[in-house]
Amino acid sequence: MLTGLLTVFAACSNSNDEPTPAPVIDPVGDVSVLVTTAYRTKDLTREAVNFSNKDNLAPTNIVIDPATRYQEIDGFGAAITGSTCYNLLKMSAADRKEFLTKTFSPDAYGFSYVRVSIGCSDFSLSEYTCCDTPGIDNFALTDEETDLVIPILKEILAINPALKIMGTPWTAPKWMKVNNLTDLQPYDSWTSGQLNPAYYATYAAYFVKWIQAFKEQGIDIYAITPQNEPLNRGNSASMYMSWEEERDFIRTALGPLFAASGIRTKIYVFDHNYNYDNIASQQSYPTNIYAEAEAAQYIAGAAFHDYGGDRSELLNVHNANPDKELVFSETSIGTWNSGRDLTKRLVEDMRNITIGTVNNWCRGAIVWNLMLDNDRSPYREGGCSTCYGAVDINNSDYKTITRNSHYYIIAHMGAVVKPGAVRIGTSGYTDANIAYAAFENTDGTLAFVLANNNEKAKLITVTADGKHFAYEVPGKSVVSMKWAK
Amino acid sequence: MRHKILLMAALAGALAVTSCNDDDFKPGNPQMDVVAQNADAFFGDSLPFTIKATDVEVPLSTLKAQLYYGEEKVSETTIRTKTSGADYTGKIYVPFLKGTPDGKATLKYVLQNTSLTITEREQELTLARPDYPYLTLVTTDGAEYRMERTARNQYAANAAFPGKVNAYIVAPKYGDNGNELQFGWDGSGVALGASQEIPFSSTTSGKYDITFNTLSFEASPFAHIYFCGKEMNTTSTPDVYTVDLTLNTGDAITVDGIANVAEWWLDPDYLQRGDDGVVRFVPMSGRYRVTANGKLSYFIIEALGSDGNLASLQPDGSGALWVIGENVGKPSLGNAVGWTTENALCMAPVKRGVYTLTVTAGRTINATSINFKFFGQAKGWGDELTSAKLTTTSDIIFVGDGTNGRDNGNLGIVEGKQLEVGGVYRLTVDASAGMNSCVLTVEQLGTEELPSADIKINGVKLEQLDSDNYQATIDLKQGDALSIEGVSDIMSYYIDPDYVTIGAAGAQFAPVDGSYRIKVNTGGKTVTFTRMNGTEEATLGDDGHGALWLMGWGVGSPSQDSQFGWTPGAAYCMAEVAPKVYQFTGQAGPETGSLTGQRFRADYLSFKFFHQDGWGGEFGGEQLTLIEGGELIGGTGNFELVGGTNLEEGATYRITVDLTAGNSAGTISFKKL
Repeated sequence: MLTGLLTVFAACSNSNDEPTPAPVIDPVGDVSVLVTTAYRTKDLTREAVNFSNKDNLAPTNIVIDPATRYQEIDGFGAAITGSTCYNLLKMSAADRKEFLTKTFSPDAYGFSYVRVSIGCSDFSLSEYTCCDTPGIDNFALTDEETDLVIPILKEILAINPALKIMGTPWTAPKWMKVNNLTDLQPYDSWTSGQLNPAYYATYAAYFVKWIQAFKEQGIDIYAITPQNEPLNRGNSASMYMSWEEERDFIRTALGPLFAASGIRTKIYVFDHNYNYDNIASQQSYPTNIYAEAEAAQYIAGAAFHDYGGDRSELLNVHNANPDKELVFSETSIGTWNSGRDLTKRLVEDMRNITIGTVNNWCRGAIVWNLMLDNDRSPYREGGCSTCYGAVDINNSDYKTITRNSHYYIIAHMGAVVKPGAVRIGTSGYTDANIAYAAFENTDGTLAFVLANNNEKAKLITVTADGKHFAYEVPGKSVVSMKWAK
Repeated sequence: MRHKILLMAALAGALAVTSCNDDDFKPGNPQMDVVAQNADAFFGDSLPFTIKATDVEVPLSTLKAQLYYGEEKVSETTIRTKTSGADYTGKIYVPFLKGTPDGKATLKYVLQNTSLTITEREQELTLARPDYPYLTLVTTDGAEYRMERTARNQYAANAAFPGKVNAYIVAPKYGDNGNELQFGWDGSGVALGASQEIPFSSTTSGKYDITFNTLSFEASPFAHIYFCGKEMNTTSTPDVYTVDLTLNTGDAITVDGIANVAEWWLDPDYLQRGDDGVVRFVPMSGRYRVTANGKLSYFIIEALGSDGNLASLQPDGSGALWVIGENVGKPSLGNAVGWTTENALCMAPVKRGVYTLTVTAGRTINATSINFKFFGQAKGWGDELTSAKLTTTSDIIFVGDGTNGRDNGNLGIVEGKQLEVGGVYRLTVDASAGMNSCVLTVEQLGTEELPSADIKINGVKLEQLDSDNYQATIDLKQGDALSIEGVSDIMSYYIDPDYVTIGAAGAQFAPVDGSYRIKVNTGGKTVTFTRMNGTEEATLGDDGHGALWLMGWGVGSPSQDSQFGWTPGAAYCMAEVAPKVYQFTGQAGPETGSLTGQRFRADYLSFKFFHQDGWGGEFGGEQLTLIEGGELIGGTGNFELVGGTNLEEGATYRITVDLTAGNSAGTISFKKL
């Protein structure tokens, strides 16, 4: 009995006694909810809410309309760079598996679309391509692929076999580059230069060989872009490629060779900033390429980054080319945008990168490095020394992980919006500080994601197919919801 | 004994359980009966209810009535309940919201005693939208048009309207408990209770319908404005539209949706009409933000950076250069920039690192005195071109260094010189050598004829100061009639209401007898007054007569676009409406997008009274006692809003300073009229 009494006292106590851990039980309700606040008071926290049985007169009623249908969703994810793989492989196998499972499992955060470099990127461990010795017969995967990237991709594919992979080169092999298209002089540099038109066919073969080499490893490449940031001559590896060059390369070489080789990998053009780096002649880069039907027939759509300009350009490009797809392929956090400060980044990134791009016709959103360490490493000279990963891993133990905004925003999409989902219509309540989007998954479930930039909590009501529910969205938070119709 | 100890411990444990659980026991027993309350109501009603509230054990505290639409509480009223067994009657507002369907709401009564014990009761309330027989459209000039019901919730007024109609819509009281409802503009659409007028617009004037739907709040018409084929977006300010787009040098500029655009002023730095009549874009190609200002009939064009935000000056001199300061403004000095960073002018980037500002003396720049500066960032403080960074080749404009009559970096006109009135000058800053090595050149491009009006007040001709401003100093007596000639649309002018009362007897001068400088601004359409002492601005005499000057933020005239700030020379001369009694009256409005007459900022005030138009004698806490309005403002000399308090937007407030007991024993009142 005395023991029982002590238990009673302990339960009442506000002293510093260790609290008894509460059992972890997933909340049960009609609508499953995932919520994260900018202050991490809720950190990918699962909640649930039931449908209401009251008349729906709510002033903050958001109506979801599955009959209004927009683009299909390919997925959401992050780049599996060399640096990311380096850090992942520093983890213990068990810790890595736990992290990758949580990240990529369709039953967890559902990352489903990744980007890898074809050859080096600015977050590879060295400068290289898969054919640094002149002659396409010298093509071969390098250690960075075979020892870093491919093993990680295989681990991820074991967790999520439907993973989509986008491949992108930062530069062509140096022996295919020239200083400019007038002088056509050899250009022995990893940065800048242009693709020698004489090597269009050879470079197309390089893409095919790379895709086939990955296929031999059991890895399907879903999409490629011909050039990362084609208007950027800087970085630690780059190559300038105007829209005219990209058009001609696809029309004369890459497209026909893909077709002849039976490769169904999608081709997305551009892969650079909304503002075309303010180069007047390169404005409307994708649209200019689509104007030539012979090239356009091989092209699925265009990819964009957000390091310059405004995402309204996505809408401009879609309106001009409604039959072409859009995908958001890169963005980074870093020291320049308080990238580790969730109070500044979480809601803004959700609004701009995920909700903002899907609401402007993107079929997916991929952020830059999935994982860098707490020193923003490893990175190379000339590359980005100020970038943060979607997660930071502590390089003193390669175990402690801190999730940054880019991880949260992809998790909040991936957890409820599954590949093959279709964005659907919304109407009703709007607030300048609230952004949202709705989707119907292939299994018939509905998904709704919302970012609340108000400091205060906001009660909202969501209505679809005659059912409605109310949920108080915490201030400065992002929320994902999913329910069966 | 051991048994006894265990029993005591058990009792202690039981007590502990009780004290841990807040829900187990609350003293008292609040009970309520709904004596009267309708089972249904209309949106927009103030619904009466009567509740008999009792608690025989503990005194009652409050009765709350809470109305829920779905799960959301949309209205609440609280009644103090002191007497048990009494009937308590109140009203709860039934919000009239956009898009809410008819249906059942929940009315919840919450009765609480002083021990915080609560009893709740919920009732269903069936709600429907009023089916008004008509609405009333009230235009800015006070004209009323009946909007007939054309379908359920749909109304239209058909009349010969001008192309632009600023108006609000009034719905009459409906049913026994209805309220008159007024619909205005909240910056993006029609909203109930919004204070701004709805900016209806049609591409043509003449007979057309103005419509409104009381369910969806959709209204029409709103002409769509297209700049170079791209639709401009509405802003929070009526008649102001904006769009970001790429413009290339020499682009032909097309504008659709503005009926009188041919009459709009063209900023020569950005837009020039060629001999072929086509307006073309002048600066270098790039991304720009274009703002159509329908109030002042001109386009503001500003350079954008690669991030889509307004551009800033970069270390290599590229980007954008901004002008902030006094005696310069576009499209006229009636819209002078001042030291308000939000008003900064973006100089036109004509090539990488080279920026121009083209001005006309007497129209967009003061001919005799200037005091402005070049800044590196858009509409904010930070990088600025000080004398260490900016030199000039000009012999008429100099760069201040802090010792030569201007603060460091501020521009002035060389002593003994002035700009030619009507002269067109181009100021070019070449920053191509980097932002720390800029050179200012000034060249006169020609002259233009300034518009001129023959304006008289009480028969006295006003001197023209520049293209917009006219002034005269006149002796006036309290109650004098004021007649203004030469301004055809004087009724649309803002005439300082503390100086002039307009009634059946016409316009009468309100303050005490004295000499006053009257300034008429035909650009901004204002008439302002300043107490004078000979040719000098009056100051406050030791006897309390003369002029009392108001400075600070959150106070401005004629709107918050012209806040007085703490800028000597920009203080406001309060009207001495009775001997030694001074007043300042205005409506409360937002900081940005305020309407003419909104001379108080609703959410922020910080003001003080001075003996002169600048620093010197001032009223501190010992000289001025707040005798009325303490619930709104507080302070000792410098008055600010009481924490958490906002003024009511659209309501009129008045400051009265009474110095009849002497300058050392003044009183101040601040009240809502």
